[in-house]
Amino acid sequence: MLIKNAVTFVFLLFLMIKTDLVFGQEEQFLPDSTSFVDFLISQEEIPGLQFRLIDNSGQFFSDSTSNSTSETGLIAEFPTALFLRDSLMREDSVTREIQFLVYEEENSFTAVQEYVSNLLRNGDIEPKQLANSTEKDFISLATRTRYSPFFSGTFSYLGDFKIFVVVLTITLFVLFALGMIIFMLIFKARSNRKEKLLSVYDEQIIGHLSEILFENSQHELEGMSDEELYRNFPLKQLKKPLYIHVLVERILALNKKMKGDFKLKLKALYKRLALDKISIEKLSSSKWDTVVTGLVEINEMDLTEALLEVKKLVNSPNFYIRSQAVATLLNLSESVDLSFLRDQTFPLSRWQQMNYLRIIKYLNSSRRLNINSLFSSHNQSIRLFGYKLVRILGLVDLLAELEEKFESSPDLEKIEIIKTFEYLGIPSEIELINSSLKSDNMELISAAARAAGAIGDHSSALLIYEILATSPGFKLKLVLMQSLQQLHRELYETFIRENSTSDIQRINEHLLDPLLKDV
Amino acid sequence: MYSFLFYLIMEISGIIFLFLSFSVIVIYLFIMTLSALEMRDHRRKDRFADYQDIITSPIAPGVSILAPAYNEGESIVQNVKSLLSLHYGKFEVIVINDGSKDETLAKLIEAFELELTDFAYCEEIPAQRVRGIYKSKNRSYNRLVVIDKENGGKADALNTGINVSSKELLACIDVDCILSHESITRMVRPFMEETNRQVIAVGGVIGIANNCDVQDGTVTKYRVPTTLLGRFQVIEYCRAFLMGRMAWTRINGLMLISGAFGFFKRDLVVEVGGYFPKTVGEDMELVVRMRRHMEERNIPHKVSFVPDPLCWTEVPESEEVLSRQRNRWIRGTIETLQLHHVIRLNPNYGIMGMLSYPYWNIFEKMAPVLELLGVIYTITLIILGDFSAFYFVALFVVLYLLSILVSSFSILYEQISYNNYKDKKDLNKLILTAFLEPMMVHPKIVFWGLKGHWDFIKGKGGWGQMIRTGFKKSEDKKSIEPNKLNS
Repeated sequence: MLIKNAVTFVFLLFLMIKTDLVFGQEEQFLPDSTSFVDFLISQEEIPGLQFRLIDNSGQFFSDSTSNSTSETGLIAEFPTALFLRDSLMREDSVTREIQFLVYEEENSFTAVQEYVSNLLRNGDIEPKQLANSTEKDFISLATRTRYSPFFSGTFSYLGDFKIFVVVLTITLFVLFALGMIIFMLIFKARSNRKEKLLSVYDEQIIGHLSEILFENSQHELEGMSDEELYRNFPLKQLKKPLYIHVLVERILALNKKMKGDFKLKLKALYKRLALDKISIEKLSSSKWDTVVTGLVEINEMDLTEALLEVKKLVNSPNFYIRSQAVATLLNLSESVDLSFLRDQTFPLSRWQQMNYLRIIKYLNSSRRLNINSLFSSHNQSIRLFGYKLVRILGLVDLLAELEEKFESSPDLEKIEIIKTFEYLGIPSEIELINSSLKSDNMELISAAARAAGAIGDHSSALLIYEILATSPGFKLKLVLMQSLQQLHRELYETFIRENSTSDIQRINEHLLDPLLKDV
Repeated sequence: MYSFLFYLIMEISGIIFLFLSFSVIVIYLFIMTLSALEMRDHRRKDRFADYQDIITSPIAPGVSILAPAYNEGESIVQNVKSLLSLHYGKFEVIVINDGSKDETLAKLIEAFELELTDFAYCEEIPAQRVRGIYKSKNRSYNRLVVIDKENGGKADALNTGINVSSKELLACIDVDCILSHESITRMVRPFMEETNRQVIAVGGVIGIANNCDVQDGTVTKYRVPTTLLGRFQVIEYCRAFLMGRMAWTRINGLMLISGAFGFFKRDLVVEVGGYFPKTVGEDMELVVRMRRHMEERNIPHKVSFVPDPLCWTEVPESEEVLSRQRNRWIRGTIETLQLHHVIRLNPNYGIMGMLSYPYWNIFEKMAPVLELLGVIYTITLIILGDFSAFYFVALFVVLYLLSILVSSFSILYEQISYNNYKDKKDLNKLILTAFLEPMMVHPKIVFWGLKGHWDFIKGKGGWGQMIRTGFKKSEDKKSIEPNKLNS
């Protein structure tokens, strides 16, 4: 719709441009006064153009014998006016000027020049000299007529600036569009060719790869001679980037599926084929996707020798590079203390949190990760991630640290910590939850009320009861009543009895409805 | 004197048309380039994305799918089953029966073993009266909520759904759309990737399912529609989604997310007052209002777009239905632009004010009118005798080719990106359509657009005098009393 309208709009608009008028208006005929006067003499009478002789006092000359109108003194032919002026000058020595009139209105010489030019341009008058000329006058005529090539500059589109711009723009657009389409066609042809090559290489590689993995041990692979290696993976092919690409992809795919010895064999082969160096080289590429590909390969093939290079990318301004760099470090570092994550300056997105959580969840059972180091990060998103990790991984031993941090934390972090207390069901933290119920922040009260419902005590119930008495908003009221119902049934029923407003009755019915237990 | 004025107007018109033509050409160059860059980046990023984690991750946001239904009795059960089978961990499906006169509700109750609940409905956004909220006693349908309400239109139904929804994100869809199993995981990703600026909404591509094979909620075999109008819409959708919206996303100037498939941040939607039920372009209006809200508070934000084929719908292939749709689209555009005229060329609204709004105003809203003026101008020139047949034919051919080039480019774009239409016969049909479209379809589209303008002037589907002046602030909609709106 967007583009469609625009294309057709241009399509129509261009049909409407009145280009010929623009072209005609600017061509100059009889540009200088001499040629114009010569023209007037040769042309004699011109429609709409008249002359009058005027003396210094502004009186015009009139004489019936001189072919002029007796009352107005108008003369139709320029040669007559000239002749009359000269004759009178000889008779009375009074200087008279020729006045130009277009349709009986006085006009300047320039205006008359333009008027006659228009008549000529439009073909309203025919220059007499051409009609009267003979072969003998050709040379003299040529000297008097300005030069104009027969094809008017050979290409009229370029003869005018505006037309030139129009043509240029259209041409550029068409060239651009054609260029894009040609590029796309080449791109498609290349990708088709690539797809074919990929399947060919795939067939070549997979057979040799299976053979070499099943027939050789890890040590044999590590000490394999070049000759033997190139028998399976020809040197000529190993110089082709696409072949290398397929080989790496295949090894990575197998590495994901395999376990134990096969994994070690694949890693040994990866290094024997010097693919590890190619992966590490990718880290210094200027293309972000190549860097990420390198990081993925390093991660999958456990190339720990590249860790220093990987660490440099942890604070990369590119989201994908730093995400993958952190994931790689988490996976490969022997002693992961998460300090590199703690010191990250860029905010941590949920996408990154999700990926890191998967890795940390896996590593948590086998390594000491020092997750608590994240609590002291200057980056709030990292601290929040730390609290989430405590909750999701069930790290109850870190709750004391959360308790310590609670008071000095901003409300957003308090909410996250309360959720953790609630999720892990720690009744000892009820003081903190109760203090949050007294907050002015509705979101914090709501989170605290939810937590109180799960781990609160009698004092929490009383606090909730007090808040309910202040008539909070509907959503908060629902949360508070739900918590009160869970915490102190009797107090809840007292509240219902004492408050018979429509909202409270509706919420009560909602909370009693078994179908709405999870809503 | 009058003659002079007439010729002056003709001359000025010529210059304006010339300027507009150049603008269109320049915009085209930019759109083609920007969309190509954005698509390249999207494909690169997609290589490193693992969508499996999102399904079960506790960090992934919850999604409320809102599906308004009006007289959908024939297909509602199948459609809801399809929605319930989407691959995602935290989601709920809220079907809003908008006062259907057929058996929509009865069929839902029967098929999903629904029972009326005592749901404590909180009207955060004003909407028509809710008659009842249903849940299933069968645990298999635990994710399903059905709302029965009085008829108030699509926007009103969506507002009711928002009031009932409990998740962080809203997925507003047409109930008859076919969603890919991984549609939620892919649409949620931009929200999860946000770091320095908030992603407030994400739009998706709508594919055309006419004449295609559908299995288990996914289009398995693509074929082009059998009619010219259907095939024209395939090309048009490719141009709009793969080129236009991708380009606007690149510069963060996207103003429209299709009402058939769009994801929004719930808290922000509630904050701005939800959908505006008095416009027929409620999808565009909401996006513009959300963006205004963010701009007015200087909060960095983005409206994102996912170009993957995740949602399919059947497009109208009859002139009667298509004309109604186009009439509605143009009225929706006019209404939205008029409501938010304050952002026009206003640097405080950034790209939206300085680029997106003027573009929509001139090249979308005014396009049919300008094309009509162009025709009148041409006819006037012919009558005056100032018309050059040579230029007419030459430019006609050049621009006809140009139109075909752009259409072909968009088809090629689809081929490179997704290669859905694998049969060469289908491709040939699409290319033939690109040749026929400027002559056989476009004039009709312009006519329907003009009719939309006329209907807007007459007040069809418009709104009262009070809000014709537009919102002073993005949240002003909330202050408009519902009874006044209905008057």
